[in-house]
Amino acid sequence: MKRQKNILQALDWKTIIVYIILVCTGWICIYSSVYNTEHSSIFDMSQRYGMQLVWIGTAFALAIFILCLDIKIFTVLSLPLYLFTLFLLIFVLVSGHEVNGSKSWLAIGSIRIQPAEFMKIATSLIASYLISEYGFKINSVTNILKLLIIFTVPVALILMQKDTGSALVFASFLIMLYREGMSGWIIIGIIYLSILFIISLLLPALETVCILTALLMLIYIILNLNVLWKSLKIAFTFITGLILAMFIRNETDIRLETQYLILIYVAIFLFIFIMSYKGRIAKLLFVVIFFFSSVFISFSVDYVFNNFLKQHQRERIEDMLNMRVDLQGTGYNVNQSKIAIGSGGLFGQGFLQGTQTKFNFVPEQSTDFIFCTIGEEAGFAGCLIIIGLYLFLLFRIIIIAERQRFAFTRIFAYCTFGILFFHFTVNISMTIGLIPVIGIPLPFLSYGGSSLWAFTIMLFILLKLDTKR
Amino acid sequence: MNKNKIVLFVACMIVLIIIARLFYIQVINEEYKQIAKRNALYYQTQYPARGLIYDRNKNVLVSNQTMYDITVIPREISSFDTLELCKILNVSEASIKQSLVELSKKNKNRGIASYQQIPVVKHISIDAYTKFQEKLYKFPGFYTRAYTARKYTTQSAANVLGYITEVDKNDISADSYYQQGDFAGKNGIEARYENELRGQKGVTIYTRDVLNRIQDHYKNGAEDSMAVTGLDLICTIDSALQNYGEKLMKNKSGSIVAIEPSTGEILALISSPCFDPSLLDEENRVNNYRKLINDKNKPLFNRAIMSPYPPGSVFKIANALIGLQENVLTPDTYYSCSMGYHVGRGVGCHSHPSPINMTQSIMMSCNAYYCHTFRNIIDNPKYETIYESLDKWIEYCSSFGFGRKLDSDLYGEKNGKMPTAKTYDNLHGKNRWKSLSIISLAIGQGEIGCTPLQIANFMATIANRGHYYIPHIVKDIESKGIDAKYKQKQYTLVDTANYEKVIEGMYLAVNGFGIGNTAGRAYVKDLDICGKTGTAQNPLGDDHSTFACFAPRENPKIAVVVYVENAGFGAAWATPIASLIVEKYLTGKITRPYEEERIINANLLNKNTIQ
Repeated sequence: MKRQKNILQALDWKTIIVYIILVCTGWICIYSSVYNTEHSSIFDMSQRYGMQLVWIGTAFALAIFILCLDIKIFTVLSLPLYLFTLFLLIFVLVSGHEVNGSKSWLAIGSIRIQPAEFMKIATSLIASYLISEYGFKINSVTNILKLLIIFTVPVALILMQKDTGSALVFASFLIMLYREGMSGWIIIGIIYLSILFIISLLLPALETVCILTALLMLIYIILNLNVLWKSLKIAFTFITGLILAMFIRNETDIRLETQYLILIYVAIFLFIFIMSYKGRIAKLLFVVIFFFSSVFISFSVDYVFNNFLKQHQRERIEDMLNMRVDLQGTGYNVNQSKIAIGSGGLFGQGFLQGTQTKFNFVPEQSTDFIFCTIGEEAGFAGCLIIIGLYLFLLFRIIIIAERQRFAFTRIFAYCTFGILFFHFTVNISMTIGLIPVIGIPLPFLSYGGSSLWAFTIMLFILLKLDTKR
Repeated sequence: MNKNKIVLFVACMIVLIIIARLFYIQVINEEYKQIAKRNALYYQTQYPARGLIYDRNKNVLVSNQTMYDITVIPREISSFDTLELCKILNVSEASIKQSLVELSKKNKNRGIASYQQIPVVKHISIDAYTKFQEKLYKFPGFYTRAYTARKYTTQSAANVLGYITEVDKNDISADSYYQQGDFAGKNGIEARYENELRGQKGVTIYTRDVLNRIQDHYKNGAEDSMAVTGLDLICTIDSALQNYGEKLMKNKSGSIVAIEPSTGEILALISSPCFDPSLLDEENRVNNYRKLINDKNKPLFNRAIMSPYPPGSVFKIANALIGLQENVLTPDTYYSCSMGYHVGRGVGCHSHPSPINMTQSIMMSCNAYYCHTFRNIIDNPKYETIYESLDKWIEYCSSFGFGRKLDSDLYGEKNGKMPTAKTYDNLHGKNRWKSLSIISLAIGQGEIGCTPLQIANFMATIANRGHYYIPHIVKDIESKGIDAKYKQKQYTLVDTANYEKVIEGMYLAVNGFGIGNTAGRAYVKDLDICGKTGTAQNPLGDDHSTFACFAPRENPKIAVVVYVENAGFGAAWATPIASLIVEKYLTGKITRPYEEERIINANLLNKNTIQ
């Protein structure tokens, strides 16, 4: 009895309340998106809202079950759990059920389960276990290798199931790794590479090189701030001289095209570059290597894009970059989704009044595109409330993480934060066309047993661990 | 900064970007809301019946008939059974495919939005229509359209009535009322009274799902509207007179305009060659329009209101009136004439007694008399310069309605031509011209051009002794009436008393047998026709024959002007035609069948090309 009471007192109830609100909102959205007058009973099991009631009920049961477990079980069982889920992934690859081109479903009777969702929990647990071990150093080669294996094996298996979205979620472990001591430069490097990738796809090679050169010069100047003033003086003299020369040749009608501007820009900085060459070999070397590797990457991007990506992935990327307009084909989902959300206005059309979601204009409207229902029926105000709830949840998780005595709990909290944050931002961003369509659900709101169970288990493991802070 | 704070900061930044984007697409951008409506709402347009057009005796001239089209909304088309479609509509598979291919081109070329209904098979039978209506669900993207097209119960007055066509891109951008596939008047009454005739379209709004299945009335029909039938018009045309005039003008090029002086109502407005208005109805227009527009006799050119003919001798009456008003001429002013006016280059005349007074000058149509009169007007010492006096003369002409639009309700009415001092400055140089340089104006030649409507209106003005009503073609609009301006007297600058003096001359020109009258051919017993012949010199070919008149002398009922192009001397053709029109209108019968027959059988078309 005493122990029970302690648990109830130690539980982070704020998080639980937000969790319950989100799950209930999710059910209302699912009800609204598949609502029609013929099936009006909310317990109708042939309808998704009826099924979701079952998922919610079982998720609550799971939550209570987890809270009753001994916390040692999470550390002890992390490796067996990890291996078991890996086995499930392999099993799915062999005899899984294919939905929308992804062979990632395990069919048990009429119930379908997606092991990839649970793989995230298992990976989080084992990563937390590994990193929290006494004497773990993130910079040691063996540790890096171990971590790489832990992460890449499930990612490879999930990619083989053609479930790119779930595989990408594993990138969210970078946040945890960053917190646990990994250099921020690695994340910046990854972001830089992504931007380079996009620029390379969008612009012709020459312009990409020009931009990279400019960037190179900029970095060099930042590294050598003392050169800056000197260079500016020289640049000013140079430009004045150029203009004077033009006046002397009576070319008052100066029209500078963009490429000439860039050329002049490059010329000026090249000059500065040579001027300040003396005694700065190390920095120069860094900048030059950086420059040439960027150019190399940029040139290989097109090759990779055309030879390694699948057709639907290329199309999704092209849609996002506005490289082509195909509203009937792959761009249809995003366009309809934007229309639905956009039609909501400030306060929305009202509950059950959204025409776009009610009449099935938005595909996948109860799973990946559930946010459309909120956007259309609750408007900008409703979206703000939902986003606010998520932000609150994420803040709570960070607060929980930072108040732990045990590294294991903190690391697991950051894993949870990363995965939730990734799902939440990526899902909403794709429905409003900020990024390409990546088929991952909105946590707690989207229809589906696997994702609801997985997020519930994850959150409640964290809450259980938190009781021992 | 701690790493946990950096993580939270970056997370908040990303969420802020998302919120900004949401704010943009939900609150700022209106486009998505429009598209959402187009997605989920189906607007079924209810087309109103167009207003009917009656003649002044309440005979229907233009009515409606229902036509049926098959339309498509290109972006909604998905696969369908072409064979079944062809079977129902009884058209060949090739022609359907052809029109669908055309459609995709059209969309690309003209930028018509792909969510609008565009007709693919036109004018199907009512049987095919009902059959197709039942099978509509099998053909996604296909719709039917029932609409009313024009049906003509008259064979005349094509240019007066005008025609309707499907609106083009310009119409749609000029008036947001129109949508692709709507009809609008393109000429004549149909165009001028488009807003009255077209009525008001109604709309029924339904919601529909992604598979284009109609779900429900949108907002229970709160935003639906009923179609409002167009207003009926009663036009001023006397269709019996119009028909008769067109019959007389058969195989002749020219124009007849008849006006009721006491109201300004146009009884007949004929531009010849004439054509049957049914040639431009919905079923035939495509085939005939090109033929008509390419016809070298230009049947689509409404001469009655557009062609600036030289008025010729008819204009002498205007100069007489101006002379009387300016006190440079009295009824008893005598001038002698020996075959013309021999000053400067001179103006010739025909042989007639001499000297003559003003009444005789109109009766005999003496050129010399009007050269004297015109020079007296222009060289009047009352005015300091010729610029001043010419301006005054133009002011008089303008008050008669010459050189400007009469502001009638006729579609496409033109100004005619009226010289100004500047015209002559350009021709001769500033201050380098005098009254003798512009002497042609004395006899209605030179730089002046009047439309038949303007001459007819001038005749009505004389008949009314100094005022006219703005000529108009529509007598009454259902439940609305016509503009008050058509009921107001428009006065000229010449006193009423002076009109009586010229009317005597016009009366004698027709009725003064044995004393040198020029228009005896227009004489009809007891009708008291007052008229003036004219032979308008035509630099391009034979002179135009013209005659302008009104009748009877007291209480005039009709003013008529007739122009027959390239027909030579005025008395030969225009004069008898005008008198037949007057006789037909006033008595309803013809006393000179031989004259009627001679005119109907005469072919004066293509005279120039034969020579």
